Amino acid sequence: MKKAYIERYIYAVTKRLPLAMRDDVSAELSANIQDMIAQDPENEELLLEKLRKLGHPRVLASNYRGKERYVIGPEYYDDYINTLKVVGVIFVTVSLITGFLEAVTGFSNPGIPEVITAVLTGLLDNLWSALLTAFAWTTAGFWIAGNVGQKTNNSDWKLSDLPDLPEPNVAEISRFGTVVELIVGVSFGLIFVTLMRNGLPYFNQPVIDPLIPFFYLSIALDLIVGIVKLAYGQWRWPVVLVTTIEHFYGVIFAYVFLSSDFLSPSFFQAIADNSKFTLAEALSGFATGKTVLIWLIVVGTIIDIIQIAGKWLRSRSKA
Amino acid sequence: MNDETILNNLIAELKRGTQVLAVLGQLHHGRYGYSLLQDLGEKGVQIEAGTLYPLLRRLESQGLLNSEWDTTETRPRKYYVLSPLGIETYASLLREWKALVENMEWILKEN
Repeated sequence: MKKAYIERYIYAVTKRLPLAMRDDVSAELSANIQDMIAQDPENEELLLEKLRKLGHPRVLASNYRGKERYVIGPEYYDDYINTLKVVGVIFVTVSLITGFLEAVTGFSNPGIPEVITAVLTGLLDNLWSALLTAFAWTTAGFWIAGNVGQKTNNSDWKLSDLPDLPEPNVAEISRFGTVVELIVGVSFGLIFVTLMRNGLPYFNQPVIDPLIPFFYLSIALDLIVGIVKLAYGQWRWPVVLVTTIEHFYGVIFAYVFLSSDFLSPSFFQAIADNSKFTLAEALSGFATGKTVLIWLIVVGTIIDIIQIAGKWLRSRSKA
Repeated sequence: MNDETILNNLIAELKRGTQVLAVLGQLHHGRYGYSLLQDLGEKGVQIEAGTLYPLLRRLESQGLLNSEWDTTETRPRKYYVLSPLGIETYASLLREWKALVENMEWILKEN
């Protein structure tokens, strides 16, 4: 009875040890435990007390193994968590796009509800696998860095290896805001472009078709801006640069798109047929509306760019 | 973490560094695990069995101890004794220890 407990304890320790040291540790532990309970070998309480003194088998085994073993060692842990966050966001965004593309190919003539459903299910389908993939790749990368690569050398590094200080006066960019912006912007962009690619009633398809690649370019720019914002986390010059480019592109593209005859003549005819307006009134009213919209976009973008430039210049003058 | 845990952790940390010296000091003659544990306990050096037994193996794998199984008695036991490298290392460690004690006493006397 006692012997069985001792053997079970020893087994619980040695099964956690490398094969080569198991037999010897087992024999030595057995002898030591026998010695510890020699005063009253049949006393179960004494045995329990002594075994508890030796410690939990897992802890004792770890003592025997000596060095601690990690999947991600403590020296890499912080870098690992930070990388995980960034890689996670990128994978989720990319999966959103691929999931969406998978979902919408095969539509012949979808309505808005079908496209939204397809995008959302595509997103959910891909979200989980994207998170797992991001986790697996990042973990594998850090495991390799920590176990196969060279140990971080404590004394062999240069002063220039030290990272630049975050600039103290530069405005921070909210990570959460950027992620929301990225996901919402990219999904709505994709929904919109798919609707147009598949042909919407009253839209002038021959005018829209050549513009489709520019919509994709616009979504790609959104994606790049999001990633650069996440990478820098502050309004530093690369962020200001890509954001400004994206804004300029946006305003030019909006101008080109809105100035084109993207709505078909049947649209205006339908308005004229179903309201008190004449065809000419519908056409001129719509033209005025487009002009106002273009101006709103131009002014809004200019204000936005001035604000961004202001943030950046203020921080530079303080620095 | 309460004050008592902090204190206990600090004490454990302080003792940990001295354990190897205490163990090496007892092994000029061959000893087996449990008898060494008892001797150290009697001399006021509290070291857990779960710490001592793995420590002996580690010192052996570092070449500071030699070991031998004695199977002549009713219960076979593994005896540990200082190797030549162990004797040398122990002497160096002892010198370091004495210098450390002197320095510490000097520093602590100032307060």
